[in-house]
Amino acid sequence: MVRARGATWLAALALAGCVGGEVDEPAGPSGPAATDTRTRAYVVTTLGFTRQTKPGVREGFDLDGRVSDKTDEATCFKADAVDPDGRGGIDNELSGIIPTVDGVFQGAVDGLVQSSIRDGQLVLSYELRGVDDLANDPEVDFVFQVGLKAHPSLGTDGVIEAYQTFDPDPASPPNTTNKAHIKDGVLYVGPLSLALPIAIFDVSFVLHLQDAQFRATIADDGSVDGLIGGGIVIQELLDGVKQGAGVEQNLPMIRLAMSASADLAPDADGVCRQLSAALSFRSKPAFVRW
Amino acid sequence: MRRLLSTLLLAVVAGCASDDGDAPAVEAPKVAPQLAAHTGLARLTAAQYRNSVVDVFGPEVVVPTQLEPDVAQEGLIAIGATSTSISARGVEQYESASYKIAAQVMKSDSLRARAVPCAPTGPTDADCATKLATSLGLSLWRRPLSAEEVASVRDVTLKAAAVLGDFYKGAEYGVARLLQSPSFLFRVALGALEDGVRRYPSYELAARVSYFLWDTTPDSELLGAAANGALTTDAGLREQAERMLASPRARAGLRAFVTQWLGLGDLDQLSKDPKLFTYYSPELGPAAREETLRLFERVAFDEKSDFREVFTTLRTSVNPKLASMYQVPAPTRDGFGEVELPFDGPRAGLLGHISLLAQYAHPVSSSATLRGKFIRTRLLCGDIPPPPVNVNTALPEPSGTTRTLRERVAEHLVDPGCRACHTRMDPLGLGLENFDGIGRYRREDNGAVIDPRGDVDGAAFADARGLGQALRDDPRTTRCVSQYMYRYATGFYEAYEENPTIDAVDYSFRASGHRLDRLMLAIVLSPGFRLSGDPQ
Repeated sequence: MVRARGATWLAALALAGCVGGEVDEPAGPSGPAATDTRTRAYVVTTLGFTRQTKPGVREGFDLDGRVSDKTDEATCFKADAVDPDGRGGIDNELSGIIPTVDGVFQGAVDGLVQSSIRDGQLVLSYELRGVDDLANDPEVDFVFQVGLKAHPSLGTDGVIEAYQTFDPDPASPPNTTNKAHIKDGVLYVGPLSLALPIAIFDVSFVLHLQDAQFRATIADDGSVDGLIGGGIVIQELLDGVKQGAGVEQNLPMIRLAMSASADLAPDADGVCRQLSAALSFRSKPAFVRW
Repeated sequence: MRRLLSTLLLAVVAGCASDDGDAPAVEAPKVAPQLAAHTGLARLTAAQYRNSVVDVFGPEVVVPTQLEPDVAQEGLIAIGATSTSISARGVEQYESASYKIAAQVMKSDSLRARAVPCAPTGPTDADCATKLATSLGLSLWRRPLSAEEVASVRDVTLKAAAVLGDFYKGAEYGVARLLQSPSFLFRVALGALEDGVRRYPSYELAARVSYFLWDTTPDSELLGAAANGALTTDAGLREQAERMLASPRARAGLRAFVTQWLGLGDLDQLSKDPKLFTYYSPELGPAAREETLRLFERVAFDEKSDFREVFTTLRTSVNPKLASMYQVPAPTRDGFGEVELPFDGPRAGLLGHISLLAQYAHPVSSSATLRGKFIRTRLLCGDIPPPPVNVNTALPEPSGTTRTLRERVAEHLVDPGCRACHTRMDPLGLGLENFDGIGRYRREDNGAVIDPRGDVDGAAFADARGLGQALRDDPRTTRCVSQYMYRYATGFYEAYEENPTIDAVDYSFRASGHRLDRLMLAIVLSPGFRLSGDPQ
């Protein structure tokens, strides 16, 4: 379990990963074995909450396979959005809460997450295994791995440098799926259950993102940038944060805010138990020392 | 003034024969003329000062860093050391350093026990002060002190001790007296006539050997060999040189040479535009130098393999920072470890090292000229005259038709005033254009694919690795390292007449299978190193 340097609200939904941007050396290995050129590892260098860009438009995924409006009982009457590319059915209710969080913390939420990544408190890596073609490959294995805390080397631009080597955190087993493919230079992963290290009110715990999905563009310079989304189990989140200093008195308000936005996994009583979420991320090539 | 003697001696052919086709098996053994290299005083370099103090007094001593700076001449600090004096500011710095060192030594029980060979019976124990001057004088001045010199140090010690009421406080002044002396700060190399031949006396030769092979003052065994005259014989000198080369301390000597030869000392002050080179950090230069020095150490001492491997090897030592820049997994979490670069990657050997690629580049860009000049002058020992006065050395800015450096250089070479020299440098440097100003790989320059092809005076290469292979196969490279090491060891740029001596040394080097430790031995045993010219 990774304990992030969290200070306050949602300080660290931190996927720590790889940094990127420079051109690959022609035959450089990337992955657990220097000779395995079919494995590509990445480390998340930046992670940010997505926000509604204009009414009804937000980035995210269609997590439930439905295009819903406010009459849809299955989404607890939450209307889906469209994303900036025009895809419909977008589930990302967390993005509606983030402006409120921004107001409370003077817009520092993303900065807190980023600090955790830069400080090496939140190291998140992933590997693509069995890659034959980074432009189009119908079958790719995806391994998500939390890394051990370690200060990464930062460039003069403050971003984690590419091709660093990270150690997996033995306390965090890898999340693996073969439901991944690459099409036209875009990586698609999921759904899979993803264990994310979270820090809220200085309390660290692992949040399991339900039916998580990745969608990211693989650039010529080796970087991979995109979105990660999934459903947050509200009770798991509340259980995780409730012991945080100063949280207890605010817990009812937090529960209310999240429950009011919950849009996934309705129970028999028609109460949605999950909150859809999407985070944007950037990642760079890296190595994982297995 | 050189002295050409009538007799010729066989040069030392050290080590075993090379096992490849380049061994000079059909060449007649070279003979070296009995010709001395230039002779003169050599000021201790900052590193030699530090190494000497630590060796004499102990590793706990903190040696002040504010010393007269080293100055390179003909590309080598070793040559600068024989042609520079000490400035007024330098005198103050050496004086200050001497008192700081002496105070540390006398305040520490362990350091004092090592430095003072006796237990003083009182503040003015003349016998102990004499022993101190004698023993420490031998270590610091690298020769026995004369009676007058011993008396001088003893008197300083006793007078100060009398005033201060403490023998050890007085000894501080005695130690400082030794450290401030030109006999410590300069390696005295005057030579002496013996049987009609001017050669270095034993103690001068001991210092010469020690600072060459170990970059520090002679140890007690070498001083002992000097005392019993063993160094004046071929066998005695060889025995000591072999002993020293077998010691781990010889690595320091090789490191000092490689640092000067390849110009790696300036990597501490590497200046790069942080906006253009976001991966640059102050630690990069020293780490890159360490990588290069470790390569030479491995080839010379760990494996005693062919020196030319440094141009083609895929094995190198990296720390996590360098590993990330080479895009290979870091072998260790901290410090250095060995990695194998990809067999079909763009880098191999020395020319793929960030040390050279970053050092021979501009703060805002790569430089075909700096890199080409380095290859031409330091690896091939060619000459490049300085640019004419008032000539415009600036390359045209990138444009729609001249995007890559190669294209810009080609435009520059249209000018006949530039062409004569730049055609000897830039085509070589363009072979390294796939590496930017801090040595990171790049495929394109200003959006255009880089063409790294070229030739080394007719030997074509396709890229940086091919350039390394061409240099590896070029006999001038071997001769050049022999030449530079000879200059380094003697402290002087060789005279034309010394070329046969260098040829003989180079022959020994090649005959040994291009072993660097054998090259060092061959130089020690060469007449140019052992014989003395008239002091300058």
